[in-house]
Amino acid sequence: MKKAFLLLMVIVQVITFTGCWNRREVNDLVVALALGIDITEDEELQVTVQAVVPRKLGLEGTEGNATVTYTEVGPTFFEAIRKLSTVTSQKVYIGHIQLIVFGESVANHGIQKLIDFMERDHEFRRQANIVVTKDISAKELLEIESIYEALPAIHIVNTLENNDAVGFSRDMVLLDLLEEYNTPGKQLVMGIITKRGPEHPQYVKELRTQGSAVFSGEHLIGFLNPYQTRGYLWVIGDLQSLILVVPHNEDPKKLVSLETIRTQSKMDVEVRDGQIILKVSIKEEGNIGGQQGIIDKTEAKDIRFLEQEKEKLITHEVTEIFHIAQNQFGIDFFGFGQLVYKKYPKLWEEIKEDWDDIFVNSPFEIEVEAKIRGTGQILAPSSSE
Amino acid sequence: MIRKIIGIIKYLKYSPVNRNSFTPSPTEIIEKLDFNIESTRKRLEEIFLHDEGLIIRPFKIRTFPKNKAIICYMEGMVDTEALELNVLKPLMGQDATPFLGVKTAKTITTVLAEEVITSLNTFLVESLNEVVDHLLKGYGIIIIDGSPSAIAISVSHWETRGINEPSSETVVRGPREGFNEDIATNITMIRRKVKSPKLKFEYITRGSYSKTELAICYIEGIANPKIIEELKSRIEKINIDSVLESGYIEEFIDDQPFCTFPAVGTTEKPDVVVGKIFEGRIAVLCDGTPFVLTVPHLLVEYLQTSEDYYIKWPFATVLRITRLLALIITTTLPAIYVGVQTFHHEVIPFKLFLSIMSAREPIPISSFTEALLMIVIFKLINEAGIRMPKVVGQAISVVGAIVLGQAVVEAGIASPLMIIVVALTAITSFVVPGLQNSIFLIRFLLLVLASIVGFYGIAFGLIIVFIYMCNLRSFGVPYLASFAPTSLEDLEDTIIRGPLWTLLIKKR
Repeated sequence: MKKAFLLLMVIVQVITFTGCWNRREVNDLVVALALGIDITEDEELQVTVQAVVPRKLGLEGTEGNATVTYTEVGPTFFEAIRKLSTVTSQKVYIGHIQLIVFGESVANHGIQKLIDFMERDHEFRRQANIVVTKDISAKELLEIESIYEALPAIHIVNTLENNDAVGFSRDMVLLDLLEEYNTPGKQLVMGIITKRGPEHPQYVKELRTQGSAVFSGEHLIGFLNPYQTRGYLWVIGDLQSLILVVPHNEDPKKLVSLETIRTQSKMDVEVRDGQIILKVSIKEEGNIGGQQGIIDKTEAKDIRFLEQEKEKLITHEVTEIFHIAQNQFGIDFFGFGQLVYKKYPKLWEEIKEDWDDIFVNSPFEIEVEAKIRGTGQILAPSSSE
Repeated sequence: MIRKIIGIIKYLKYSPVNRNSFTPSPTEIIEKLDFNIESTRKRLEEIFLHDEGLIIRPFKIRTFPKNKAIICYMEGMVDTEALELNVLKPLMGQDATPFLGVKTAKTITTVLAEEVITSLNTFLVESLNEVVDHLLKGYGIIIIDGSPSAIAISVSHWETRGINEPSSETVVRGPREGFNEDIATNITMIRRKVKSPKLKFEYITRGSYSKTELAICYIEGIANPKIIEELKSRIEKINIDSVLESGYIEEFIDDQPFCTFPAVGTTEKPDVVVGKIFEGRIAVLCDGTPFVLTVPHLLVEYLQTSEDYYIKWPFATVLRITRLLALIITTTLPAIYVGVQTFHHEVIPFKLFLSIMSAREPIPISSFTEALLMIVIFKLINEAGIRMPKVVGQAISVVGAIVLGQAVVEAGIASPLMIIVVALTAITSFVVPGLQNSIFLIRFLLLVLASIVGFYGIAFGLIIVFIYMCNLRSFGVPYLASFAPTSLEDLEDTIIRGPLWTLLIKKR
């Protein structure tokens, strides 16, 4: 009898004490694909959601995109999202969110008021790509249509992810953002999305996802162009594949494209004579991708020449970004401060207040080692002579 | 109210172990045979009143012309040719007096049984009860005037089904013979595979009317004597009118009669039975059915088939893993699908989520109702398919496949994905046919739990089921034996089928 009672109690508790009970069928949801945040002139947050229209997904040959955008304004992020359900037919579900867009306005104003909700809410997908707009608001961005994909947000996410092959922008997910934002001694750098021409874009193909945005604390303070972004990615070692273009040794007008297949970089700090020295060592490996000249470049000395050219180019890009960081922005967005904190914790306690000043005045050492591993399928190029 | 519940709980605690033992009713009186043949004959006719099947034929024995004699048998149960050739011909054909040995104190019946009748299985019976019993078993009975005993001659003969390939257990490789309904044939099939005097058959008759013969078969020295004793005592406690199938016995000897997991195994194939008795199990053959019981029966046996031992061990292992996978799929798939659809949208990959979304869009009912509906529909089609005559069976599959499968989707009652889920569940349930019914209940339980609390409910349900299974016993052996309690040696023949040499050496 006692046993039966115990069993009953266990079952009752198991069924009732399960935390949040949130039963929703798939067709009771408005699935948000992308979320954009802008700030209005009254300093209110404007949240734009791009949601899937499932009815349009299944049908063959439907015109246009299977999405719809809803916009709502509110004093806080959470309230604006909740208020969205007064426009949408069902509750907005953000568990499958693919893309989060910070409008340029909100980035300038400060992103602190957005971060906490994204971190605290259990539904927010941590693997969503996150990006900042430039010269375009988040609302406008999410209202752009795609020709190729049924869901424009997916098209944008794909263009962001394709940057892995060129290294011109920073491909980042929400989890990276939260991690980087919380790291002391490192300022945030995010990928940007902008329009290609001066006129207002209608389709995703008129957008450009190159370059990046630099933050100081929670505020956007400036942008990096694609090559500067690449220099930055060299330093933090976040490059997967890219094309390096170097001049020919006999005819500098003819260019050789070298494909990078493997990169490795190591940042380090060292205290020498009471001064902090920033060190970067980069190792790179790649193939010859194509050349414009007709001279066989597969001799050992030519390969060595190309390797040196590559090293020169990389050193140049890295040096430039260091100059920009130290002279133009005057902040440490590489995260050398974090290295100081790890390596010299006591020193860090003393200098962390004015780390940016110390960073600006610290000398840096760059060490690059580039290798060419393959020459493709041919040795000498074809020629008409 | 509470008393009633306690009463039900007590009833649920029924077990063959604490069953009351069966004592034969005292009304049965042993009736001696009368010296007077006329009164015996009258008595027989009285017993078989309204039964025209009893044939009584008076005749004269050439050697003892003074004594009247009758031969009786049940029509259709005996081989009349053998009766004529081996019994009537020697008795009526010639005077055997010159060949007879010294007449001492022997009665006529003894002399005839020992020296005249050439039939192999011939013996004397003393009482009328035995005469009736043997008549019904298909014996020929000779009653002679002035003799206190009758001669029983085994000439039983009836038509049996031939030895066919069993339809419930087909194999690609391995013997194709299956048991039939005749216990003697079945025993022969087992004996032919084990030519050793250690192979024992113990006979027990059960069923006060049917008098069904049972044979307990085991190998002395391998089978655990305690289990044999336990089995025998459980079978002896059975007190029913008739035993028509081994299922009757199964239900009486099962350790947990209210449990959905069978603790007694059944098979139709002699090689399976022999394999099992070599593993120390005990088989119970029952007259009138090709299904032979084996005890103790463990969960792992559902993953094993006879064919596993006839093909190379790596392939057998792959098959075992496939079966385990099927077992997992068939139990949990509908529950997982419903749980994912109602609670855990995050775990679905995005692309799949989109297609689920567009498929679910027009469905007006909840995914639980949808799953329930499809599972019930499938169960109906399945049951109809088995019961229908073979000729109409085709119609059922057409109705099932086209009308229900396609039309349900087109009408927007179920999504195509749900059809896939239910179809997969159904297919995998046939991979472990023995467990089909118990799995059905567990699947249902998990489905309900998943629709209430999602994955949490599935985990909870599975834990309950596993705790329950750990408590099950089959003839004292834990149902999950070799998994829990874990025995590394026995694990070699569970999910993996170890090489034969390691398995066979261990058996010594």
